[in-house]
Amino acid sequence: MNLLTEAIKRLFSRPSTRRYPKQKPRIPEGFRGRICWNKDTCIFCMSCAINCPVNAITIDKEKKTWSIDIGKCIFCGRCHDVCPTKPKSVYNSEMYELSEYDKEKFKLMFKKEQ
Amino acid sequence: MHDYILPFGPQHPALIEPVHIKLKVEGETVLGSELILGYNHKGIEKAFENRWWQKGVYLSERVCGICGHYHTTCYCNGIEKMMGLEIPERAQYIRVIIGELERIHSHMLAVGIVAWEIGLDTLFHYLFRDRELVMDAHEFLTGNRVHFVMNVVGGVRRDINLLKVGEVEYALHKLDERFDYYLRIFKNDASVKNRTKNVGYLSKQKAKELSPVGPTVRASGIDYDVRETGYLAYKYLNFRPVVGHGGDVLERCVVRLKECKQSIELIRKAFDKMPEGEIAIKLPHIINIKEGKETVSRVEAPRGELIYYIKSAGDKPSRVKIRTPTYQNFHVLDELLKGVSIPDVPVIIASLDPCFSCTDRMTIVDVKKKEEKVITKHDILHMRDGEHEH
Amino acid sequence: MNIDISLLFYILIFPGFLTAFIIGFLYMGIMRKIAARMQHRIGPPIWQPFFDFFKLMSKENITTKETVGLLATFCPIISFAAMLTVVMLLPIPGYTPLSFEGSLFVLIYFLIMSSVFFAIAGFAAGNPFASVGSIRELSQLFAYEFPFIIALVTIGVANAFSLTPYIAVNFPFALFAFFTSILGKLSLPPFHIPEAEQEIVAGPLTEYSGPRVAMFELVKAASYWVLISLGAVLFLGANNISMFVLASLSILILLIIFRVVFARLTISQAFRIYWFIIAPLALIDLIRALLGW
Repeated sequence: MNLLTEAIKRLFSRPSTRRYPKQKPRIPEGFRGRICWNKDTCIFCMSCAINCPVNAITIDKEKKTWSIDIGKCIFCGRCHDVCPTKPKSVYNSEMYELSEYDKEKFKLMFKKEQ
Repeated sequence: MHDYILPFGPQHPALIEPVHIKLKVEGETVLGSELILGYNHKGIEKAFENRWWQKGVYLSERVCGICGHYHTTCYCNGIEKMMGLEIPERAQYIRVIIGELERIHSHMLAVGIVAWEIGLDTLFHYLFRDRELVMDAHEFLTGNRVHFVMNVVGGVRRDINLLKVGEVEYALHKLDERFDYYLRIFKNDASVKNRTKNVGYLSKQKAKELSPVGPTVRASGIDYDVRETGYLAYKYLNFRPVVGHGGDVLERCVVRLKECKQSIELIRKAFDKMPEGEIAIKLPHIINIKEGKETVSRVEAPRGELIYYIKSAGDKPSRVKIRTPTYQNFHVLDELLKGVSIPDVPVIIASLDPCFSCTDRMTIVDVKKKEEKVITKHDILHMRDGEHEH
Repeated sequence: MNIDISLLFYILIFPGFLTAFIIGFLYMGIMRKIAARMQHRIGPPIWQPFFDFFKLMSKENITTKETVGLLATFCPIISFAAMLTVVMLLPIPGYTPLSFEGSLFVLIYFLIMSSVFFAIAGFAAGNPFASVGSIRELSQLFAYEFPFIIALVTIGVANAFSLTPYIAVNFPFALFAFFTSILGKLSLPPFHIPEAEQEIVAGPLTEYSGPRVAMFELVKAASYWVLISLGAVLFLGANNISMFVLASLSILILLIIFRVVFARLTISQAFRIYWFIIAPLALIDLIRALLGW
């Protein structure tokens, strides 16, 4: 009868469902969200593009552009690990609401202004 | 009476992943079964051959959703053995801690699925509610709820500081009481015992012949657990496997719950004994291993013994062969499904805890694979053990 | 010809068709909501069965090559018609459309008929899962009707078959037998065997879609209303509106508790429990009623 007493107790307490999107979850430190690029510190060494397990990053050295395809990215954070600059130019942000209606919007391109 | 074929087929509400089991049924009794795998074939073993050693670690995690950490551990252990490296002690402890947390949530899912198959969805919802505590602990430690690639070749990527220890300790404290509660339900509740006791009985003799692995074989009285060989930090933690003697579905669920409790103890011991130090050996991004070198590494995944055979071709592997525990457990299914009635079929399948995503990397069901290899059993043992005695 | 307007009201509005469906769906919705809260989650709104019904009516009828088309079209209709007849015969005090001598037995007969046509619809589908589900439905029908009939006959004997409200304090076993038979008829745990989604995809309704399923949902809602009202009037003695509501809700809450706490039985175990444990207890009460103790 232990299942019964627990069921009746739970009937009178708040349900444990989080009411998203009114109630957002707590993001812990070190969460691996969308990849962001810091254009001021990047030295264009191409380490992140070479080491990406799925080849999601493309860099154009002449035009100074850095692009990532979020559809291919697996959010592993290896680009952050291999970046040689201090502070790191590639890092995980806390963005996780990334849905789009059009797959072309997943290809993000950033440019370093001269 | 006529007999007919009931396709427990690729599409079924009781199955989480597609598999085709053809049941030959007469009335409500099953006369025999036939297993057809291959619906989840992803071609991962081929994809390993194009990636450098470090990149392959991220691929090996995606073989399975629930036991991904064990796949990376096995792969990294194999590579480190080939290079002759010994990773720092703190890294060994961190690998064990993350692994034991993953074992807890995998077992909770397995018992929850058994509870749903017997028609009691209340227990399923309670187990999944408590599993969220473990997922939150994972997110706090590694940054992700599933597919947390904590392992790199040479150690781990992130460290555990005191704040994180506090969060995990909170989750473990709550889980300890809940596991006592679930063990009480499985001991006392009459309607649960009615559907799980003496169902799918596997005797010790049959288990020795068919050799399943994991909690399936430990519930039949045989104490076979790879963690006893003392890889990683298990040699410092004084580990003894959990063994049950019932052999039926009830005993397998109870063995899983007791292993969860044992995992909580192991994590607490690991937190106490963890020494300070480095968390990884600095290695270049592209590693070179002598061509033609091969190795075998084993770990104890939640479902049983997981084996990786790796052969090197310089800076990438030339062949990776994965033997997952579910693949080994399927041979028992044919024996267990003889003469049961239809209501017991999904309960028995769920009690073996199948993970078809891990299993389907081959489309041919081949039992006698050991005889077809050129290398002998002595060579395999030598590759597995390396220098130390077993 | 003058049609008695109040008779039309009893048949169409209360306790006839409209009430049966609306309150039946409400019972189903309340049951889902409270069971969800007991499982620590939010659950669907209580109007969900209404939304499901309208969604199902808007979908298309798909028939496979194996299905016997004539039976597949007519079994839902006959089952539905049988249930409407039962609703007209309900013995609610002061509001019964049809009442004659022996109407209790006609009520039982039409209840059985609607279940039998549910099973025939499963056989007509030509799918092995549906056939297994129909076999289970017929076995369960055979199992629970025995204590159900004994319980109703006990009350009838004690009350001289007048179908007036009666409080069954003298016959607790008959009350127990009636309650467990309701669990079997409505496919609630521990007797939710014919529609076991873990074993035989959807039971008899595996190959059906759209308006046919909607009609079977109406039959189910009406059977909720019929059985709970029968229990409230004949066993718990409700003779005014507030007592009726109270009695119905208490039966519903007991059904919800059974739904949350029990696992499923196999069909042979259910049969044994109905025939060898519950029915003998009900027989004791029947003999006591016949002898006047």
